[in-house]
Amino acid sequence: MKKLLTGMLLLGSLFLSLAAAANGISLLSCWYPWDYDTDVHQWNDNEWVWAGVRGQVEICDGEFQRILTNTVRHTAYWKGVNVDPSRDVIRRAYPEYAVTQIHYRRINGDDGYATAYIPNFYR
Amino acid sequence: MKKLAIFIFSLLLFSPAYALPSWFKEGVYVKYALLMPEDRGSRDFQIFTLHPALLSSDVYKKLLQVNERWKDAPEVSKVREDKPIGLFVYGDVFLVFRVVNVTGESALINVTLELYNISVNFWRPLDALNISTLLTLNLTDLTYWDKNGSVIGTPSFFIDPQNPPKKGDLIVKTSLLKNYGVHIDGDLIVKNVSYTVHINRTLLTYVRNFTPPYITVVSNKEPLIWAVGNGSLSSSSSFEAIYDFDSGLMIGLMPSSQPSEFLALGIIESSFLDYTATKNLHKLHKSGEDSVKWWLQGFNLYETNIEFWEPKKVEAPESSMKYFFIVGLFLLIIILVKRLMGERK
Repeated sequence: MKKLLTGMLLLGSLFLSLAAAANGISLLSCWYPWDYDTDVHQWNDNEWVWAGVRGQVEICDGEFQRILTNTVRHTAYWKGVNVDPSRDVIRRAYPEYAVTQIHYRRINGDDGYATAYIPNFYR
Repeated sequence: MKKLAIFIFSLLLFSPAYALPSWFKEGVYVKYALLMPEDRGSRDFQIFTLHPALLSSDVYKKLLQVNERWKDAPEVSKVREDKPIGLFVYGDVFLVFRVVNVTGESALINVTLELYNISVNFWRPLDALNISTLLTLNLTDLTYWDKNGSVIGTPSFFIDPQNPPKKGDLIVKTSLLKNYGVHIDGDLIVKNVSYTVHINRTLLTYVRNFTPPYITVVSNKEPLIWAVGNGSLSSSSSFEAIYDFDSGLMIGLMPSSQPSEFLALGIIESSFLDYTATKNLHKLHKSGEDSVKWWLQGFNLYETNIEFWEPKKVEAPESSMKYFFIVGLFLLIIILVKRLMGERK
């Protein structure tokens, strides 16, 4: 009986250590840093556009895996340019990339985009 | 008999007579471009979002090949049928319209979008991709019909200058996207038709210069939302294009319009800019020529086999008649002088 119990314990601890090891590998090699990007277009103090995006990315073994899309935040600020907040701010957030774009029109008639995207530093 | 005559007469009166522009013939093609300058900025690229369910099977198959070719790319960037496909385009883009066939009541239009130097879903490089479709254009009401017989919208690349679009006319049947899980309120319709945009300016394109007036067609702007799996897309759909007053041909498609042809190709939203035209426009700003000249910043006319009517300087034909006039004038003066002299005497 004693032998069986020791055997069970030994086997159990073997499984536990195996599971821990497997877990340990992924825990050690994957990490979730924050990535971010901004794009600023400024013509003067009263005319500028600022697009930003940030979010956590999963990096395993030094390789990008995915963006945690529930952490993605898009930011969009502007002054003195024509932007409709509900239509001209484009937000794309997928596991493979996230982009914030502001489609602006300047007073002089110029069209353009401010574009921020991740992955940026962890590409 | 009398009734029949009245009927025919009223038919002539009330049926909208769409006169096709004289250049609209079999074999005609019109090509528009977004040209990427050689010193491309790090954030200069175009984005086209495709819906797999709206793509033709051969285009989808071609896109699937990037899964095999780029196995070291992140797993999440694989092309799949249950999520959007994002094309980041770092090279040139061409949009080509070809009039393939014209019969009495309809025409076949081939629409092709040529893309160069692409990154599929941000990670998987692709040298080039052609997305193409064949559309039936009903010539009685100038609308595109798809294979199922439903209306997609009106052609973007020309209007009938004799009968330009009116407020409330359909441009793109964007409500079709509701069937594909995309949230959008309604269709794109004509909100405004203007004849005064760039009224004092020559519009420069890669083909030729256009002179005012122009016809500008602007639609409403519809917010568009697509939540899919772990991802989400929040964008908008709108249309703005500027047409030549004489020929009705589109000179430029403004950023970032959604023409009906895009919907037919499987593109649900995009952001594009002609970075070369933008550079050219900035040069005009700097030199102060922007008051008389302008480059549109979206798809610009790049190549066509349409022959434009070119205004020419009118000169009197060379003839010897003018010498008779001069001699006659001299004679008149001499007679006048002689008479005056005679009166004095």
